[in-house]
Amino acid sequence: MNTQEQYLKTLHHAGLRFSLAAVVLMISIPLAYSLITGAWPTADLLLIGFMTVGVIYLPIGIIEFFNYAPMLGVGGTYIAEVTGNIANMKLPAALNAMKQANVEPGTDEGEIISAIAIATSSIITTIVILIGVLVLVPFQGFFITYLQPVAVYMIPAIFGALGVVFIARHWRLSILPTVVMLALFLFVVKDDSIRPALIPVASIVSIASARYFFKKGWI
Amino acid sequence: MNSIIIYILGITLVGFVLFQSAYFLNKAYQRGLELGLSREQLRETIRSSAVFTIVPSIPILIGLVTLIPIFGGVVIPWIRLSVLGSVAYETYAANAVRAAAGVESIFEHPQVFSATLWTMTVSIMAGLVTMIIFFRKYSQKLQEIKSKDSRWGEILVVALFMGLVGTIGAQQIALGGYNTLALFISMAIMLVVGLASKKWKWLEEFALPVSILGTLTILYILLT
Repeated sequence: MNTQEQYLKTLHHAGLRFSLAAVVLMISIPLAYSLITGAWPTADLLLIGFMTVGVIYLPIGIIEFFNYAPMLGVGGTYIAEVTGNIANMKLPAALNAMKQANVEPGTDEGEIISAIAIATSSIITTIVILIGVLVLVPFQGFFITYLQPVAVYMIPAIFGALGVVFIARHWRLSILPTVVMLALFLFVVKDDSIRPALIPVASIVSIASARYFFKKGWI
Repeated sequence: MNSIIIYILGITLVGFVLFQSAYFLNKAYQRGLELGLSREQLRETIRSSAVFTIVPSIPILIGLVTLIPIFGGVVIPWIRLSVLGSVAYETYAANAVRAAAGVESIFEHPQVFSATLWTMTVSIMAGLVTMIIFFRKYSQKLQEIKSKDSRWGEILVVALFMGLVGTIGAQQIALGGYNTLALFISMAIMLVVGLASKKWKWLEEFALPVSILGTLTILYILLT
């Protein structure tokens, strides 16, 4: 067994325990509320809640895990799956760091750089939110007036910039998934809320075309 | 809804998140040194990731502020946004339960509030639970692909990312209007900063935050 395998084994060992603890801690919040107030959710409200919220987010959560884990690496995934904000923060942070360090995602060095980037990102955002709670809440009016109108454009602002970097490096791989998804979104799937759930379709198209290019020796 | 116990649990959860991140950071740092990465390079990764994170943290803060009136206080939005979930998700979940219960505000009705908390906590855990059950096996499988053919292993990861970029890029183009504009402005700024950073190396670290902030500033000017 080489040392990278040993390293990953240690991460899984610790990660599993951290993740179980995270589940217990997260559940403890509604549990504590119900115990303190004596207000337990009624079955009908819970059922409607899960039918409207769970039905959408359960598959999304599962798909996201399988899709993101190879890019985030082992250490990065264990942190990101607890702290969330993967697509808009943890993944861009990891990719940005790997680009700057000149290492590729999926390599041994990529695993390290990604984990460091995601850990740092989690620590900083947790602290920013904490400071926000303590200091900025009195000035909430300012934020709502000046920042809320543009906050919805954060995703295109992040992915435009990140996209350029990756398209410049691997432009051949970017064409097919983008064209297929654009055709799908323009002519078939018009409801924007379900579009992100189609990432697996793009992944399959992307992997299939990459495999073909790879076999042909074009990449 | 400002019980001291909820605050204590919140502090514990946030402390846990910080501890877990610090643990993995330390492990990766040590392993990075073993792999021959320089201290300088590892510190640079920490610094640039910290700089990058500030910008996307701002909408989370704004979101926190907008969640306060929904939850009737700061403690639940703070806890929810410090772990899994997002502003859009919490708002959607709270609205779904509120509408189902037929009430004006969830925090005036303890049972509705309780149902909201349970729903939003459990419904977002699918990824976490999937990770607990499958990650070790899944990671072994990925390692196998890598050890069999390391070049294909790397391309596979890039291809997965291209699937994501393709989906989000196509989504923003299909939405049209300012979404498409934001995408292209950001691409243009990144291109310019990227080319400039070939000459001035120090710019590289700021390329992504500058692209995001520049895009949002231009959009703000256009929108107001």
